[in-house]
Amino acid sequence: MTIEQMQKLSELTTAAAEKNDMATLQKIKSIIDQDIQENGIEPTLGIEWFESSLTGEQLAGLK
Amino acid sequence: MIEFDDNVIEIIRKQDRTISAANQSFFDSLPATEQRIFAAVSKHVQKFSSDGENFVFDDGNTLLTNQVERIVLEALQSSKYPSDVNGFLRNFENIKQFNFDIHGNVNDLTPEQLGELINPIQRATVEQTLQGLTGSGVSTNFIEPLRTGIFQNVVAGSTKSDLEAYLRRFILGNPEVDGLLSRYVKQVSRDALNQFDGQVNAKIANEFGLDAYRYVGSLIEDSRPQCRRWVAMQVIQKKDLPSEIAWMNSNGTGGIPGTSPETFSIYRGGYNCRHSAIPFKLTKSQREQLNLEPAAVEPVKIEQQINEVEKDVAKVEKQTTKATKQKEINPEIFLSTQNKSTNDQFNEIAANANGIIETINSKGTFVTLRKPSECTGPGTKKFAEATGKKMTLPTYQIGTVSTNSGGNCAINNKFLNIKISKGEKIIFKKYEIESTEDWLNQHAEKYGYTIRTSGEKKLLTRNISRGYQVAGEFENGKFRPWTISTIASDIDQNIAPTITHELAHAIQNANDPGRASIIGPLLREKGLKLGDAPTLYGQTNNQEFWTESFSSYVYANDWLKLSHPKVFQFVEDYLKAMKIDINTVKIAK
Repeated sequence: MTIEQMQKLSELTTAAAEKNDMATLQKIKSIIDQDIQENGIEPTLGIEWFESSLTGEQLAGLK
Repeated sequence: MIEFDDNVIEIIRKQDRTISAANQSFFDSLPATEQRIFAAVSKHVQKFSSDGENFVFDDGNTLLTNQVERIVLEALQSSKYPSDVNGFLRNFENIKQFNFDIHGNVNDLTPEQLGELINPIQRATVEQTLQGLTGSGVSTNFIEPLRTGIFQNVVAGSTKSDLEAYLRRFILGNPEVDGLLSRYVKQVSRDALNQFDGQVNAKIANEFGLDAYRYVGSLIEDSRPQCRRWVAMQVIQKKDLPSEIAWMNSNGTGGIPGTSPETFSIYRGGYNCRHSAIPFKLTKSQREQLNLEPAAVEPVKIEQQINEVEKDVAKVEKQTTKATKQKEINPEIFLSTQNKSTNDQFNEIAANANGIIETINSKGTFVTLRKPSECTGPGTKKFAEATGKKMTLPTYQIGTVSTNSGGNCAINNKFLNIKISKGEKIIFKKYEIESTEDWLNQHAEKYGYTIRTSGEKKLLTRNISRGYQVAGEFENGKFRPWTISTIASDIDQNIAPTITHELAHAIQNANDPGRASIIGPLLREKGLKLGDAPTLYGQTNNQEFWTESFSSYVYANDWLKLSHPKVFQFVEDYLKAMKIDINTVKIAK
């Protein structure tokens, strides 16, 4: 995933998290998972940005 | 010395007593003012709407929160505080009169000569002190943090009793810690009179070419080595000030950084020093006497100096122990399956700046340090049981951490998690990063990276089965690692920067509501875009921009300052805007 793609996904994540739109959050999570499957990820923080944009309830509600 | 006869010494003592009494009298009046503010604000928050138990975050409560400034100002105005401040400010006139008497006797200066010099200093200092005690100083240092705290309680859905406890602690303090208004007002007033006296002496010394100082004031058990030395010397020649200040820096304690011959009268023996350095002109006979008997000044005995240092060490040790106790995460919310030393190391990082642990404790943020197997959903349940907390809380209260994250911090600060894999350590240390191609090549060679070229960029990459990962890039004379954690992980598997990164999220979540009301305008004001972040990961969003900038500030301070000066300044300004005392931020050395 490029930085620009991360930025776009981050904006979408913030908007979905504010509305507690779990369906969109799940879609974003799936995109991220697929990207990691295909391209791997730098391991030190990884997708911390995604997890740190959510509440515990939202994080627990994702597959 | 003839000039410092008993009469002069008595005037100096009187001045010393006047300053102490003025401060004490002012301090004694503060609790009544605090009670008045507490009563007014407590009454006001009764109007906040709730769902029966918890405050609700709605427009009505937001409006009421914004009225807090007016409520506090009215309470202050209707209290004795304005007349107490006026009473305190009148002491500047007393100090001026003492200076007239002292310098009239010692330096034969007339009231007219002295008035011309001292009056402008007095006007400026009184104005500055008044502003600090009643104007923007009180608004910035007391009212605004109070308003923000109330707002955070409303947003967090606190109960009435939670909010009352917060107001009591914040406004009234407790037997061990003063309320915030008292702490702030004491700091301003304590410095004001002594520094006014110091500025007057510095101005007189400079204006009249005076060439010596008499260091005066009483000695007490805790007097510092340099104060003992200078009181014993009686006369310090101006030409000897550089060596005396060097002596203080090497052998003394508590000196104020920046003390120089020019600021000697102002800073004297250090913080809260009760002594005065009074300038005067040496007579010919005094010069001869000093030249003939240079050894007449009895040096402080080594044994005595050792005793002083021993006392200082014991005192600092005591303070540190006390501070450590106050600077630990509440064990009730600190869940860990790591050993004690790892937990202590985490607390040390969290104590990096004032406000972090306080934020975590006051928000009740669950902090967890866990092994990778304890990060999944089922692993989290086992982890909770293993910490011995016998938690009845649902798992989401302490979150989970995915395989692809080193940690996380919930946006509402409910939890802050750190994953610690085998072999990883927590070390508070500086990382030497350089924005040069040489450094890039050396780092690549040492840690098994391949350099790839992409247009103008040199990429630091690691091969994986499906391609490669980028761990940093070099372009236009700037090196950007993926994260500061990447460098620390490469060099010694150190996860301290990851911890700082997550703590930075917690600070921002607590102090910049919506993570945007302060940072957005500040970045625009500084002309900074996401692409200016010091790391690639920091370009993700404003939150990661902040956390990566702060991690860089702490662990690679020199590099950030040199390679990203605007970001460096942004970190300091953002901390100030979030009311984190910049002087308390520990930089890794």
